Amino acid sequence: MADIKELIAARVAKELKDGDVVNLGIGLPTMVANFIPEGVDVVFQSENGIMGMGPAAEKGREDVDIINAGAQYVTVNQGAMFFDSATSFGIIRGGHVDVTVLGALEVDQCGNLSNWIVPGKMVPGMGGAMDLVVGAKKVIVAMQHTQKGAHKILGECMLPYTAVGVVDMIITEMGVMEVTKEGILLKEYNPDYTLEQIQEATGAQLIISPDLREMER
Amino acid sequence: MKNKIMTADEAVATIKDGDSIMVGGFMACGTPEILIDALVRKNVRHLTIICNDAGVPGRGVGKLISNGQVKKLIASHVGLNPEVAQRMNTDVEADKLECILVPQGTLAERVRAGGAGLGGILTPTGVGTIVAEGKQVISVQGRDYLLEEPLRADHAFLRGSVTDKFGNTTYNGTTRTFNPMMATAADNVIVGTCEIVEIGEIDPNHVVTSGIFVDAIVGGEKPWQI
Repeated sequence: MADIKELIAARVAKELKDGDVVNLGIGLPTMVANFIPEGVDVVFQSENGIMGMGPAAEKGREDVDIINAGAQYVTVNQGAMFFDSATSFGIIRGGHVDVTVLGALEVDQCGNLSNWIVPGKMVPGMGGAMDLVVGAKKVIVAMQHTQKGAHKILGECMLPYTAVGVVDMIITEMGVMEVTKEGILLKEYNPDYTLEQIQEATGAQLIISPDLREMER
Repeated sequence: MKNKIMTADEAVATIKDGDSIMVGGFMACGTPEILIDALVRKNVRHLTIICNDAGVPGRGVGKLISNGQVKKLIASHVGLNPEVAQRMNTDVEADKLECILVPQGTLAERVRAGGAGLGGILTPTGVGTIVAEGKQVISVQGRDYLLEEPLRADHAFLRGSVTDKFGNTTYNGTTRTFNPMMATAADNVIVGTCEIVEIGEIDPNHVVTSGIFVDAIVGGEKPWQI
């Protein structure tokens, strides 16, 4: 399981370009920071008020006044800045974050995303997710392809939306997909799975890219 | 100059049942625990709390929720405090917690609007979702926005790092969060601060919240583990 998450996080990291301002969601997306390619410098934004977030704080050396959006103690890099929540979401909504990486309960072929509520069951709230996916220039959904076999990539989301038409890319352990006007385009696949298996695990018709290749590792 | 320095219990003395209170902080980092504790001791009920999140049980506004003092919570995220779901779904009508979820950036701007004399803000966040239900959609330069109304409260609880005797306040690290906007959007503003200094000791370049917004200053706040 850890391997699958690392595989996904490592592939997401390859999407980041030198100089990008990046916001990582809680959980698997946070792991992307461990796989930034050499020679690529990115600036991590944390929506609770940091530009230039560094790695997690060493045990015993935490500053309890500095946390990330997942309430973990973190460090800041040289050149960092702290700000209030209105400024933070101005940065996010204003299109100054190049890439946001987050998980999904469901994502569909129109780029619609559902990840904040399961009515009657789980009501955690949207936190900053609605603003992030509306404002960031590129939205990458990083997640396991299915929920224990149940489809998460669908023709149409069943759960309430986080936002409509915002997802650019979906990266799972099975492959790399781009959301296009025509539908979900499979661009890279993990050779541990056949194309039939990937299609079977997907609740929308995949378009196979003419340039389909093995997933970059 | 009016003396604004008082104990936590004195500072919360005017808060009554049914009042609305803005509370700064993000997952209780940037929340003044000494003021929350005083409010728990005072045990006023049916409060409306406006805060980024529900804290965690035993920390931040989580203490008020555990003590059954909150009638309505306006927040962006409540998932890390399991007590919120329990209290939202309780069959005991008197204990029921009403929870209104607002996107975090929208919450920050609604508070800012409340303090800045604006009639609301237009945001693309939430368009096409259930957040848009009952709200006006306004098209500007070809893009749809939701009209989100300003938010104000009777009281605000800020958490300062250094505050001078006029109320000028700085915030360390990620404690800043909603504090600077909430300072402007409530009738009675109380700062729980780690250090009280003389006027003039804080470099004006570093003041984030002006003392003009602050009604009461309570010392003795400290950095807390989450």
